[in-house]
Amino acid sequence: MCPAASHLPRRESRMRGRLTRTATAIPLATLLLVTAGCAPSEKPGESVEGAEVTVWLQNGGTFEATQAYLEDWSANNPDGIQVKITAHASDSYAETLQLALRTGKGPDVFESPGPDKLNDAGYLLQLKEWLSAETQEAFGEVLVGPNPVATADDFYAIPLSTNTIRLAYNKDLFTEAGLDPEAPPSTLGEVKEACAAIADTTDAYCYGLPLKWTAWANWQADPIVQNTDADLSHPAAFNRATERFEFDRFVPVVEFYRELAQKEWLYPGATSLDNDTMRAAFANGEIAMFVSAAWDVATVNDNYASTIDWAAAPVPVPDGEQSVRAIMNIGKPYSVNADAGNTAAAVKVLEAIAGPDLQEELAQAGSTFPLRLDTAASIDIESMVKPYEDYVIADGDVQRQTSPVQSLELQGETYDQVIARLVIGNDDIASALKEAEDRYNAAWKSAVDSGLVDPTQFVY
Amino acid sequence: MTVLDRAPLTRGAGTPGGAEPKSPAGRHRFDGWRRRERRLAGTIGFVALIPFVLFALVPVAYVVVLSFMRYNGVGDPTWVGIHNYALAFADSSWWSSVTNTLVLAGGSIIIELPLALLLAVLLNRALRWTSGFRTVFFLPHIVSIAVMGVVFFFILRPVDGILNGILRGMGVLSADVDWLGSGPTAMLSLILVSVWSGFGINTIFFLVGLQTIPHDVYESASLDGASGWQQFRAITLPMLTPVMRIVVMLSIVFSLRSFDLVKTLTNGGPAGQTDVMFTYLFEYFFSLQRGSQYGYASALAVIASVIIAVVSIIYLAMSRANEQRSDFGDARRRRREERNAR
Repeated sequence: MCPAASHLPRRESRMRGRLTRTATAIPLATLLLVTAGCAPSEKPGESVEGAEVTVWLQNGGTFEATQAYLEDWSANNPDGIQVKITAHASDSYAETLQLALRTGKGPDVFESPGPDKLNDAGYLLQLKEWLSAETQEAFGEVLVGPNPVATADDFYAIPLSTNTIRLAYNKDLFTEAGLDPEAPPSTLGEVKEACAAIADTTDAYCYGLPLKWTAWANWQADPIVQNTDADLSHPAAFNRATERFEFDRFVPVVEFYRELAQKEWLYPGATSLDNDTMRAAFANGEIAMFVSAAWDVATVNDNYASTIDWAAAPVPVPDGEQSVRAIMNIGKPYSVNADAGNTAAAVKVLEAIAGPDLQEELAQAGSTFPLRLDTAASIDIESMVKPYEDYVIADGDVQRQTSPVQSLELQGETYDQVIARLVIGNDDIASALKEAEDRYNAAWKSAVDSGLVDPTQFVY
Repeated sequence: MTVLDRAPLTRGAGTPGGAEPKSPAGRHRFDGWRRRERRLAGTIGFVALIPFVLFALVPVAYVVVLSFMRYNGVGDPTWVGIHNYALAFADSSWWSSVTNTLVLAGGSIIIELPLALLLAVLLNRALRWTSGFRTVFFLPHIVSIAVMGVVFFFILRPVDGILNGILRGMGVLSADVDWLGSGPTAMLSLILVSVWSGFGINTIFFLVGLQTIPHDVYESASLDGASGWQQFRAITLPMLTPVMRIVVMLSIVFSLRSFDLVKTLTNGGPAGQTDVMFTYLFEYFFSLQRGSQYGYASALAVIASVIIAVVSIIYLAMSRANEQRSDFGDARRRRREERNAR
């Protein structure tokens, strides 16, 4: 007790003592909180013994095998790392993950949709320093940027597979309609002819278009356009040579889908149809065709236990145009949270997911199209489930170039909303696309002028 | 020291609600007691204020500040003044979503409140199984709206949809209808699902209000020969006004804040035609299709809050004006009756 305090009445003295203790405790607690919040991340080599690592997976073709593998790994890894897995619906996964990351409740290791954007936001661990040389070597050039998983200096996700884009079609329905199941349509005009035959002779719907799916245009409209011009970047037809968005390229796509809708060849309820429901209908033999990705092999065959005979062919092009390439997408990227509880343990879990054991198991089951060079070399294509072979990378399949869409400050309708509105309505196609194109180009110009985007990333 | 000075601090002896002591010592004790009470009240109030400030005022203030910034979650926010607001006023899609919100709110309130009032009046007549009906009507209110959206998607879908199945079975429809496939039918579906989710709780509110109206009033009216409709118009409605004002107010606010039902049932579709204010601005916070525009999204959130506040204030003002008109009318009627009696 300080000397002055000894002269004070006892109650006041007690009060002052409490105040002094409180005054000391508050800054101390604040200091502890601040130092805890600002503590540097663990470095390679830090103890991972018994650490708990949270992992988020999307429901889909690889979920069950990945979950089983990780549970086994969790029980048997020598470091005693405990893996806690959470499964999420694929349609809302990206939004859920972003929300969790933005509120500081993100998982330690996760499937990472749009990793470039998440990296821009600072959510992803830069992996070059952390990942073993052996794993880095196994993935080869794909980890060297710039591309959707890597910058020029580092990389922030490991893509476990590649997704080629194809027209999936039901061979049984083609046969029933009197069409040659080995000669699928290669132009939009041929698709319409096939639809007419299928509508006349079967109870099925010709085409699946899930307009409620947030990424529908990225994979069901863009590839039809992008495959005809090597200068177009994805999504939204940004021309790297002219440095402009060119939405007039979508005119034949809109006309095609509008005609399918008007003739009731589309699976009913397109505007409220999500991708999972549409794929379930295809797997059930109710839809003859849809533009698909390699991930659909496992979804249709395993998740929906389909018994139909189906195959995949190159994405049809607008009439009178030639396909000059087939864009594809690096698939199944996995990342580590920059704020992971135990970074070293999280990286070990990532290495387990990306390791040859799980990748070979997934590839051999037909669930993924591996990017690991050693795994890819070990697959026996002949023994794979059908139509795995149709989605294997072929000549002409090229990694998509990223357009600046996600970096722009756009207001109003997005290009996919405009296309959807035109498909289901009767608005003038050319003028609506022109209005959207002008908005996108103005946003691009504004972003470049204000320094919001580095144009050299998006143009030649 | 007087007896009063030594007396315990009880009501009437210098405590609140009682007469203040007149002697200096008593006044001194009273002032000390009052200071301690104020300090205690202040401390309790301050403790309660902390979470309110941290979790309500600070986030709101943060959103307001962000609305004047350009910020995409990366790098430092930059001050742009009213730029985001200027963009919002020129954004026709935003104003479409505002219109959709008003249509959804207006449509559901117009259907929901009369329905809830009708059911409350019926339940108040001591029907058999009243408590069972109350429980059944209240059930939709405790179902998660997100779950409701998913369930109604399967009810309304064109292929194997339950509603189409029932209507076709009854011969009302000859072909399946895509209820969520066009703007008007999708909006109607949202309104009806919203009504279904909200009428139960409003029925309970009205029922509570009805049970506070004395039966004597109805009995007197009956003796005077008033019909059921006259009793409803002249007794039930006026005496239910305070409850009705609260119910309407809450319904307006809840309806204008719609988000989860729209998000799960239509996700703003078809092609944005059922986007409401909060599904639209959500896209700017969280969607990868537009990039992250925290500043613009915050400006929209501020505008949305102002719209809700303005609509609520207009309703309150109209409600008070009606009440004053009604009081004025009553007074005039009384004066006329008194004149006639003389």
